Amino acid sequence: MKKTSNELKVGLLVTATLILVLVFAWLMGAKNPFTKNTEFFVTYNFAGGIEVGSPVRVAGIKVGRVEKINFFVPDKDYAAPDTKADKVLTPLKLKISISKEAAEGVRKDSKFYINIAGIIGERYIEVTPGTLTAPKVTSSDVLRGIDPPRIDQLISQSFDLAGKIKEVIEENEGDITKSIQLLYKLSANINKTVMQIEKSKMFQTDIAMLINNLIEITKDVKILTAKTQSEDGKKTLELLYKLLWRLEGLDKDAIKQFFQKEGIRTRLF
Amino acid sequence: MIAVFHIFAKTLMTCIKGPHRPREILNHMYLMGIGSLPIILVATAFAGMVFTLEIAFHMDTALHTVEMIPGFTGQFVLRELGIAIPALLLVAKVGASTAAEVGTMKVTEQIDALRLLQIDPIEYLVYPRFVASIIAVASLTIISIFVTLVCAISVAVLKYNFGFLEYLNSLTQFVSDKDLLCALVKGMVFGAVIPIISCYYGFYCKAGAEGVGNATTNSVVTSTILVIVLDFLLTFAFSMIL
Repeated sequence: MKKTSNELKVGLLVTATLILVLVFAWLMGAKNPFTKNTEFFVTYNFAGGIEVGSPVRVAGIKVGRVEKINFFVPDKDYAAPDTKADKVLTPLKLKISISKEAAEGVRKDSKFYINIAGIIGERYIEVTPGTLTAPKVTSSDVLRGIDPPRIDQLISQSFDLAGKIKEVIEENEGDITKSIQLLYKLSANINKTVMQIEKSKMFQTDIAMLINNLIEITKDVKILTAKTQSEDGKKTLELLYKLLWRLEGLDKDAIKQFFQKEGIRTRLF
Repeated sequence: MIAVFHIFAKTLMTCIKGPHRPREILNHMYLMGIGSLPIILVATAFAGMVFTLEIAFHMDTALHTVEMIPGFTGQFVLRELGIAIPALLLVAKVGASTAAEVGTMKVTEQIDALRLLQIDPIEYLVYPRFVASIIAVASLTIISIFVTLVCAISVAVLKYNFGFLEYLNSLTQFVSDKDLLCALVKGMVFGAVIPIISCYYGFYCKAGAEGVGNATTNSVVTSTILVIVLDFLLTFAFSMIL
């Protein structure tokens, strides 16, 4: 009886272990032999840290993973007709496995971006659903992925740019030094002038007066303009215009004649 | 050193050739597995809780966020904590008892008696313990990982307001089936080390109670060091292979 009990306990221990192994394997994304996935290939020149097992998401939902990474695969798709296929190499060919259900939305014109998630920068492949008219992706299709930006290249380019700037500075060192010296002199002169202006009381008073006068004139002009815009102002301007029009034909003889008519003797001009 | 390899090689040969002694294996599995289960459950449960609190404290201090608790905890439990703690506890419990038992048999000339009866002591004493220990330690490793993770999740949910599914989802981003494979392999290797070292010290035990005591102590010390060294070597090897 005791032996049977011991055997039972050992059996339970082993069974519990096997169940736990299966549960862990399921949780950790081990491949389920009973589900059928669609497997296809995506090529990249640069994969930006993608690893075997990295998640694949369609429209933001995790639906699969990277199964395998092949390096420098001869690429028949990109070989010219007169070139041997093995001379055209694709740097990276990723085998991707996604669920059949999600594969329905993945078309041949879908885009395969390499993105970063979380604060530690986990890499994953984001697949955007393609257009409805494009054919569906099928097993063993080879599609082109979109290479992520290379930080090392950006740094290298910045380094090159800095080198070129340095080169230009070194080549035109004399001119640049002269220009800087001139700028320095100019700023020094401006500084001196400003200081003199600040020191001169007379200049300060004159400027103050000038500014005050300008303010007064501006005020007057403002009032005058406002008045000319009023109804009275418009009438006055109209009358003035008429008066000027009538006075246009008035000369020395006409004025003399006018005064003679009125009996006034005068000497004009 | 050569004697240890001799015992190991002969045990492996017995694994292939037999006799397989299933009854003996089962008895030892019961003693090692079921007998050690309570202490391992208690130790790993508290280890999981302590580790979560510690990792949360350090993350909060250094990164001002506890968002990464599941990832760090999961990886450490699956790669180290859930494997090393049961292995070291089994070294202390099973290794010591085996060394003392075999040592006493040596001192009381029971091993000589076995030889007289044409029974190979390695086949009779080491082989069943070897097989039982491999299975039991692998099982206890998986169970201890489960218990540690459950306790770690409980602390994260109760103290740091994680959702259960949120924790699991985050955990699965950081651990993979390869980590589980590493844990199983490590558990089996540690399980193989414990009976071989213990039986070696038992076989070469000096006469008297003091001899048995020394054999037991030496067995525990050597097994502990060997488990830690092998842990490093296996971790290094897995980091290269997987």
